[in-house]
Amino acid sequence: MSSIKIFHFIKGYVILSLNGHNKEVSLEKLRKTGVCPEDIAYRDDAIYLRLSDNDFSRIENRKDELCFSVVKKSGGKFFLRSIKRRWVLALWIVLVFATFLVGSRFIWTVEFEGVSEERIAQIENAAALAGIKVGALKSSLPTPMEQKNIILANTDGIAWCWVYIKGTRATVEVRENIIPPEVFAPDVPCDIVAAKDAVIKNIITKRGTCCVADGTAVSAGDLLISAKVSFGEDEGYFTHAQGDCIADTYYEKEGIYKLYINHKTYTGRKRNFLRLKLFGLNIPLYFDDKTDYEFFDTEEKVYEISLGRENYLGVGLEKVSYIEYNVIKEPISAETCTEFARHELEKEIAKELMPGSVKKSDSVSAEKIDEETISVKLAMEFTESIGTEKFIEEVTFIEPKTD
Amino acid sequence: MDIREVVAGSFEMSVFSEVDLPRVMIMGDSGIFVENYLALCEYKSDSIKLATKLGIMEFSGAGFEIKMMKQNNIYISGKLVGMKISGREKV
Repeated sequence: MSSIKIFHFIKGYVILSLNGHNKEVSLEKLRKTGVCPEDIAYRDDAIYLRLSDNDFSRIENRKDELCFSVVKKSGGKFFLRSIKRRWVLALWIVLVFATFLVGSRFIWTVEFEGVSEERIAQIENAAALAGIKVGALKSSLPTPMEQKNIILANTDGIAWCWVYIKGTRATVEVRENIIPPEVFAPDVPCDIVAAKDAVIKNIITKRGTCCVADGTAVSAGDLLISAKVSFGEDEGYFTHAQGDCIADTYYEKEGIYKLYINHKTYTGRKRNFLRLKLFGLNIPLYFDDKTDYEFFDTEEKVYEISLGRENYLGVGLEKVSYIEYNVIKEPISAETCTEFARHELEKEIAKELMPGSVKKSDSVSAEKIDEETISVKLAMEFTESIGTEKFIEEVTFIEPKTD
Repeated sequence: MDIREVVAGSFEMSVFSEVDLPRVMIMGDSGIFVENYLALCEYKSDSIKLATKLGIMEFSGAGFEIKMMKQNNIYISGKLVGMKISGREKV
């Protein structure tokens, strides 16, 4: 049905109304003229009907005889007729179409996905070498495979990339290399050293020579199991040291916290600033973007004209809203504040722990600084494996292979 | 008797194919297609009267709209409740 409606619209049609006492007679007269009325409906004591433009031109001069009045003229044919009389409007429409037609042949937005901030400049340069830059003519770009090769050849630490061009937007999707942790081969000589300050609880040496006794306090970097295995004064060899170094560790974190919680209450005041995005240009549609708000949230929305879902045509509108709010201080007790602080400090300590750590004890203390501030200190004790491998650079003799 | 009816009868042909008798096709209760009608006598949203060779054919219902109106055919949409044919009427 919608295709028929589109067909009628393109052809052009006229809606007529028949009024008076003899509406049916008028309709009959209309039918006898040979026209084909459609969608005849009875509403508000009148008969409405639709005639095609061709049929209407046959009866247009018999308005008094057939007792009809024109309600509406619609469709493409009438639109074109009205434009003929407004040549400036027609010129504008042609110009807009021409701008879109020409503008959509270029790239106006380049986006990068899956790339870290520190590497984005490098990728931008590489993409520019591959022709992916604002203002580039799409037809002059190299093939997608060539673009990929150029970007990969001119960047470090990139495993894969691909350039998607949708409308006037180019999206460079990148996958960075994931650098695996350094693992020494079992035949590479290495020591085991302490990863952090601790008190040794128990060391089980599997390969190498144990250098510390149980109960010894060690600092980060101290040798725990040596790779050197000696037979006498001068004899010996280097091996890949192995063992479990269980130690007690102690952590202490401190922070200053406020004895109130800030609550936002929105005042309802809002200021919007619009920017026109026109083929790579960002034109502000305001004179002054300053606000007198003390506290505010920022909200950004972008409305883009696109063909279909994704084919961006290079024209859009960016709306930045500043939403004002007031801050209300809600006081909390020292106990509640200490509990909040404890959670935060625990998270900080957890970042420094070795895998498989077991908590032994913890204690929290709070000290009031002033009416609104307290200092919270969290101390925690753990049992953890603190041994970490350290490569030995100068090796005189490596352990002979038994097989 | 009309000469065409006599001819149609003598050749044992269908009466509908030869003479101008009205033919009504009712699609459920939502559409009526009438062929060989003579004129539209009355049109309201709840009733339509058509003049035919048999007489006045009256359709009653609700929400009637004439979707198409040609020289001999008419298609009416809307909720059909009843249909009545009254005496022969000269149009």
